[in-house]
Amino acid sequence: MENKKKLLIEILRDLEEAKLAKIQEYIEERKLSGREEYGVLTGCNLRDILIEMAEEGLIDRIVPEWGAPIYVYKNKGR
Amino acid sequence: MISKFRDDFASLRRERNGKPPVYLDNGCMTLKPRQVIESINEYFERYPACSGYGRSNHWFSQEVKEATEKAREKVAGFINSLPEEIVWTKNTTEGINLVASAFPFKKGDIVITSDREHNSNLVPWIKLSRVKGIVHKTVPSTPEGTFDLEAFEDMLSPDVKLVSMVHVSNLDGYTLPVEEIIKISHDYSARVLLDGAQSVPHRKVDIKSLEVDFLAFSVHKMLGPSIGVLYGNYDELKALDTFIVGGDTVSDTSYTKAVFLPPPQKFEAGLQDYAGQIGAGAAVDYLSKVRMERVEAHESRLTELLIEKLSAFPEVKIAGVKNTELAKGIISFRIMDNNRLLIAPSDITELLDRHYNIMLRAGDLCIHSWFNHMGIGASGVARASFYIYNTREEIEILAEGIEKIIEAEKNGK
Repeated sequence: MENKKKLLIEILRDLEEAKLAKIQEYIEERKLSGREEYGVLTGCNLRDILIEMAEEGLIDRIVPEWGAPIYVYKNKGR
Repeated sequence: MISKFRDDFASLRRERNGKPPVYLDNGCMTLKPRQVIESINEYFERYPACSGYGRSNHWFSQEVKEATEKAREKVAGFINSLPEEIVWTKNTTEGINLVASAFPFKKGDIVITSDREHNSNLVPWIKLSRVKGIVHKTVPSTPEGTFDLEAFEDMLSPDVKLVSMVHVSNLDGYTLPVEEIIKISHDYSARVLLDGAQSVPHRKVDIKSLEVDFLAFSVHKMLGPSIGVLYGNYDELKALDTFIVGGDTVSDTSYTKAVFLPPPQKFEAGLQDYAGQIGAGAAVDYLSKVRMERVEAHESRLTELLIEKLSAFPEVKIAGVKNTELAKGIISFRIMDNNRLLIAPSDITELLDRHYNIMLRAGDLCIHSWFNHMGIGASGVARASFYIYNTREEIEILAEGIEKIIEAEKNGK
């Protein structure tokens, strides 16, 4: 699995479930605290990567009628 | 008047889920009117042949040559240049790369840009720093987000060979004081290249009154097909080295030598996008009939209306220049809950697209350097950008959609 997806699964494992805004904030905080590996996650394609990961079954993507989609760590509790 | 224009755009007559499109991603690519599409179709249906120096001279080829040279004349007239000062490129990025690659830089020469350049006017200079040893400097904006002319002038010296600036920002529609920038740069014998991607499509740009040395822009942002233009003052074009070379750039070769043609041919290697060139001519014909003064005034009115609508939502923060009266045609924003993102920009655009067919752009807008500098690298903004066919009703729909998104997020839906 590519590095970006591994990092996003790591983020969702920590957050358990989150909207994109929360994931982006998490990345920014990690970057500011010197976790350089999070620098590969930039704004333009995060949503697309998360959708791809949901299609691959790596995470769940819950889309409400209104409101932002929620991304869920799939192996929670294992 | 707007409805008359809108009739020319077949894509605006489409529907999805019983609603029409609300296309507000014009900063990236505009829609195409019937007249442009017909001009391109005419090439493919009637004379889809090659042209160029020393190539075929038959019936179809002659028609291609006539149509493409006519298009070059039209584009030249549009910015008040000479036809031989117009070089066809793929896009603005290629125009800037052409100058970066062909300009006679020496190690230690300085190139100055603003601090909020599109990657197309940043990455070439980062590359040249590595491969040619040039020095790239950026002018820091004022705290208000405007261009700092004093800081710029302080950076000038005889080592500054090129000043390469965005004319109008693709973040907020802010216009840099290019007349002053050009005058000051010329006082120091530096040449000036303008990134006109967001200026030429939206206002009258006259290169004679600007006295700019180079101007790159994209026809696909001004109703035309995906093709670009580099204007260069003829003496400046002659002073440039070659760029991509091969067929059509030379008048003669031996096994060891090539005799290059004068500009613009020496920069236009190989068979060209003839349909694109003809479509570019049709696009500037269309805009000339509309008149650029009206394009600019219409976009200003829409910008003012959107700013007024957004001011009703304290959660909406407009990015870029602080005095929004300086913004024209482009509004980038974030939806915040105090200092935290209430909703990510790409979720805003997804929701507006899904529920209202509103098409915006989200992300870093290819200005990653500025977003990283401002500490908002991973989320970016949502951007609305206008053109001649957009209406006040579409701005009302956008404002309604934003209100709905804020309500939904606040209610945790």
